[in-house]
Amino acid sequence: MEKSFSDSIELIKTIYDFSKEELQILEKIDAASEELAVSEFDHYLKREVNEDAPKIAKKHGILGLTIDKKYGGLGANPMISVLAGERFGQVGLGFSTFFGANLGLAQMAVQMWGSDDQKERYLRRATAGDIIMAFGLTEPEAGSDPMSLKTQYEKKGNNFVINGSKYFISNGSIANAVIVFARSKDTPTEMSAFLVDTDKNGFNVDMKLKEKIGLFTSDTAMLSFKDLEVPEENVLGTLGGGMYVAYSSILNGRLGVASACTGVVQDCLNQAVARARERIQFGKEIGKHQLIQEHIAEIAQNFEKARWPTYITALRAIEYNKTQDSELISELNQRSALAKKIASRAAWESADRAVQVFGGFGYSLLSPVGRHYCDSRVTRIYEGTDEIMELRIAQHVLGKGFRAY
Amino acid sequence: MRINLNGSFDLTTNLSNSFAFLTDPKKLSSCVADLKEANFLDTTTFETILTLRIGPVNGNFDAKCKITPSPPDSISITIDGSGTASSMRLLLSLKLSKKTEKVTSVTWNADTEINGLISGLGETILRELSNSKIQEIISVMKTKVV
Repeated sequence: MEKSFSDSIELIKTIYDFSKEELQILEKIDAASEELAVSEFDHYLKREVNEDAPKIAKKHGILGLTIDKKYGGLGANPMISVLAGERFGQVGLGFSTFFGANLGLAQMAVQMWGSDDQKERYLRRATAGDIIMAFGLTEPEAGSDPMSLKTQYEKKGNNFVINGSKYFISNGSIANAVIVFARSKDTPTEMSAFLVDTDKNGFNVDMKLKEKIGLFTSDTAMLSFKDLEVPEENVLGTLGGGMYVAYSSILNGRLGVASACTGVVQDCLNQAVARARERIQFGKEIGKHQLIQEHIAEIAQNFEKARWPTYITALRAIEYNKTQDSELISELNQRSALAKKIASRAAWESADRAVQVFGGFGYSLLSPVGRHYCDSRVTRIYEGTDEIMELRIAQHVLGKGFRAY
Repeated sequence: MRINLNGSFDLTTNLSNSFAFLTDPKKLSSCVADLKEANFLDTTTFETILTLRIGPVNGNFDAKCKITPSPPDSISITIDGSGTASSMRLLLSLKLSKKTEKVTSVTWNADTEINGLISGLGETILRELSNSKIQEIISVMKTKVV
């Protein structure tokens, strides 16, 4: 097992008792990550979506990591999930983004809000790796404020007809099913979520976004819907209850981003330390130069700053799953925002410092730290910007009546 | 950067034949697909040019390989190489044991030190690429040894 990963597991044993089955799941995650590393590297350098990644994940049986065993999943709890996220983050954020959109956002939404029929039709197949899913919330004019969605639905017979567009959708062009959020044309204050099959007439992939700063191995698409008919049995959750579906998924997503970013920081530390020990300049290892030591020390601090809020949030999420204590929801909301804000910032800063330790080679995408540098910037934007995270944190600390939006 | 890899595999021939195959520079070098040319200096040493392809890195690696047999069942192979602004030193230890009359088990341990540009690719990538290269050589070896 990758040493830094096994070190994290050993550390967490001080606050959490792993079952034998959980440790076996983590071994699966590690084996999948080893195989994904080279595949991600190859595709990254070709600037192409890694279509082998879902196949590798399927082969290792990890696509339903947090899904109930009843639907073919591994039934892992949030602590196992964040450790898996951390390991995937070491490999790179491209796979983490695919995995997070497919499982953390889409599959988990079906698990939480779906009918038995929807779970059979979508969740079971996604868990088995027979379909890929995506989460269609963001629009050109609705990013941080999902209530400003322009996509609309209206009832026609037994179907709903959807018109509109979605933007920056991870897995958008490779997905077989997308959870699409839209407003009611008749009652614009109501937002609903729909399970949409991508092979239906009226579903269009308008653009595969390749002109990104990083995340080349992860698919990002712009979608549009023209008189797209969706049967009423494909409403996810209650009609008009789309905001609940969106917020619960985003909560999962934020913790997932935090864990992946923790993995990025860990890998930046590993790579920078190896480089500092090996590279000789001015007759000695660069790690013996104090200004390089400063970078190493800062990345090491970032790792501690990133991982503990993530682990603690996972423990609180386990507590919530056990007790269903509604008081915990607000706390989890704040903790997820805090973990995501700290870890994504730590990932970006650590990648920047690791590039500095690497010197010129760090500026190349051949270097792992160069790839982390390009990939990590978006983590301060997706699943909630830094600014939205700060509003969430402040609102929780200040208390009721201080909601900024 | 240091990378350690190890494993074992079986050859479908007796221990004596296996030992002879693995200590013969010409036979051993024939198992390496990316070997561009080989200059056999004596019965245990050869110089070679390996083509190296890792992502867009595509260059030649000049390497000197020395085989040190310790009959009847141990072999040490050292490879020193440089190229593509990098250097590499590999120490491969092989231990042979009789599994059956016609099958020899080979346990191997490879300690590699990589410096320069290639080391910047990171341990994870280099470990996986090295491992897949070794498995490729072993699979060719299995078809050639008799």
